[in-house]
Amino acid sequence: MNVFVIILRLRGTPSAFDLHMVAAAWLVLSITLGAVVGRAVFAPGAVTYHRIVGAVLLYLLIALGFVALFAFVGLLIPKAFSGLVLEDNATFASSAIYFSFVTLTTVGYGDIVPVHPIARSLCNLEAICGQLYPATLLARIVTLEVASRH
Amino acid sequence: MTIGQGNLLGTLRERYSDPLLTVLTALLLFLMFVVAPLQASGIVVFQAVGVFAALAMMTGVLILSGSAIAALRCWLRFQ
Repeated sequence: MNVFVIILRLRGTPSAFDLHMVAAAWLVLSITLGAVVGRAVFAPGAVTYHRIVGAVLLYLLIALGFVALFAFVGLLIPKAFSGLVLEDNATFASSAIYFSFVTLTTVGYGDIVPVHPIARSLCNLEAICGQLYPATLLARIVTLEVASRH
Repeated sequence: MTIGQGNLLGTLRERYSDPLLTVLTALLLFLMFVVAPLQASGIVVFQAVGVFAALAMMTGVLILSGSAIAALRCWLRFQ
């Protein structure tokens, strides 16, 4: 997908289509990697230290998936986010990852703000996932690992 | 397209399945929190570093899943 985007960049000026392709690629990556890692983490057997780290990887992948969703919402709805520039350049990925983690961890610095109701709803969903996942699944896995030591 | 248990990938998966989770986590952290900001700063070298880290991740996914399709999806994302 990214090769396709590079070819498009060489042929002309950057467009919203390039960003759609990049966002789709992020979504495919997070879903595929999430499925593979999830299967390994929640497989039958003893819960090890590595599986706990794998569960943390799933937490990071939630943020990565929301990066793609934010990009889609921002591209489909103009001015859905205030402070997030949706342009096909090197800073986009960094800004989108930053905003996604600020939302997932419910820090909320306020430099990038969701304005449109759909964008706000998506941010709420990510914040809820960011709160519930460590408090439920991650805590459960850590408990199982500690219990298996005794 | 699932790769059988009897071959090299099946053996690698059985042996390194759990440690690979830690390796993949480290690689993703490196990509998101080191490579992406440095790329955004305009340091071109980190484009190549990012590609190599992504290739390593793809190899990890191939071993962890035993499925060439899963690895191909990650390949499609990065290439």
